[in-house]
Amino acid sequence: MKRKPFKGVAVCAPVSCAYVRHAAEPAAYFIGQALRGLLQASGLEKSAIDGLSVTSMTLAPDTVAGLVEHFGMRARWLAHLPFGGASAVVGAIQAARAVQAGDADIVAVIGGETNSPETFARAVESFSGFSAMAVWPHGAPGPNGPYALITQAYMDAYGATRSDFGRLAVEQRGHAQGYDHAMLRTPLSLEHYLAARPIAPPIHLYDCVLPCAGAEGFLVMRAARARRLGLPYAELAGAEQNFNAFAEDVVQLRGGWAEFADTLYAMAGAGPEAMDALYTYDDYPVMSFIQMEDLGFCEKGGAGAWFAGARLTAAGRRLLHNTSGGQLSAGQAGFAGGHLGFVEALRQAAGVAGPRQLPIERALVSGYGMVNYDRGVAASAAILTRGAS
Amino acid sequence: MSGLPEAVLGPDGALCLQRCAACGSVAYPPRAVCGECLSGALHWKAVDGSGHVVATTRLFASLSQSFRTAHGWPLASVRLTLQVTVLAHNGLNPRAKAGDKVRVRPARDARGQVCLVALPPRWAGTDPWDRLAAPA
Repeated sequence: MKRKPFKGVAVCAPVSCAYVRHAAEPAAYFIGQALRGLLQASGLEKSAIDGLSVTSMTLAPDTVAGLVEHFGMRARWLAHLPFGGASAVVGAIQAARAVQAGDADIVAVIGGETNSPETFARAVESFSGFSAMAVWPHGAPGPNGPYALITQAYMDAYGATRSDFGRLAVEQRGHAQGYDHAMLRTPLSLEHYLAARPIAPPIHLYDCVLPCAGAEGFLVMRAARARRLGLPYAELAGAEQNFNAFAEDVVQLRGGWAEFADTLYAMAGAGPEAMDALYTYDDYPVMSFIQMEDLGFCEKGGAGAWFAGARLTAAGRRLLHNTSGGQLSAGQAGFAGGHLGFVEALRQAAGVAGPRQLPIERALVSGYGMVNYDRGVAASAAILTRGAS
Repeated sequence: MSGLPEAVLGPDGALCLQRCAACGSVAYPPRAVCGECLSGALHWKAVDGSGHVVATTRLFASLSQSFRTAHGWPLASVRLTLQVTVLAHNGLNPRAKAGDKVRVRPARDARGQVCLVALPPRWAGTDPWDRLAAPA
């Protein structure tokens, strides 16, 4: 059955809270600050928000139901999404369907986390049953272990080099210069990238994200409502999600994007060449490359050369990528890492990026997450287009 | 609770994994239900630990003090001939490359936890962990 488009739905009010490396405040603090930011950005009263979708790996023992009481909200639609970096797109999809169906009028979609050395170690050790049993005893590596092995297998399969990955990290650090919330803004050269200390070769320091605390959020409502409120917005021209695609592959050199790319572009009526910007989930550069390939921006194994090349869009401009520095420079606020790219894509596509506004009216944002054992099992992607004012 | 189940370490150091009584599939990581047919009848059986290296790394950063070494803690992913992929300590096989044949055996690490170790095919020792903890 053909999927119903997300017609008549607006995604708006992109909000990013300042990131901090370590925080004494719990996750609820950061999620609450994002909600407050959404009210300020939209001019809405708290009572107007009747849906809340939350992603957080550090919220336990609380849940979104507890947050509603904590925040003094009255909601009729809630979601708590444990899909890691795929959650922002999944949250947008679910909220859009709730709004289309009339189950909610205005949904706040928020990813927020606290971070301390203790919360991070605990989250890694008990991330999943499979991981606790089969990964942790082998060096307590955290995600660096599985991604070192994926990166090495990718390099062996396609001849990619550390410099290929380095160009992505270096370009993103350049974008982070202008993004006030980015945790890492010291200029990074390719030489500096290549000379970094090893973490789990081929992964070195600048292939890794900096775990931090923070929150990101946006609102989903009817487009007519957004126009009445005078809120610039983006439409969800297409959006897809899938889980455990290509489970038969010995190593994750492709992900769920390869399975849904055609239907994603068909729903949007536009292919990769029509995008002004691409936001990949950059937990490690190799995953950004795999998303570029699976989403059809270049051939399989060719992302290194493509990224370093002209990257021309149909409009004749260079395709922009992770324009707020990505997680590699902005930091990774746990499961909100996927919201970072989504919220920046929304800021740009809705035209509300202020002095950082780039010529972006159509952006593809890709999500990825949940390394349950040796690979991420969740993949998602959405195409955001500038809404009519 | 982290760590592999005790049942992985069979008598005489045999590698034991869950085999589904209903469909015969071998499951890894250990689980409650067969990933093929969803039967709950998974029984620990001694299995063939032979396979090939998929990829290797050395950990220079670990969340556990036990694995912090100056030269990096060697790890490998190994595809067993049983068609499951395991992560294993690779300190006895540190120069192994992708495609090299290895054998995977269980061991008990210094903390008493059961783990997997990749061995050269002709390795003849008795306790792989002893050798890992004090490499030649």
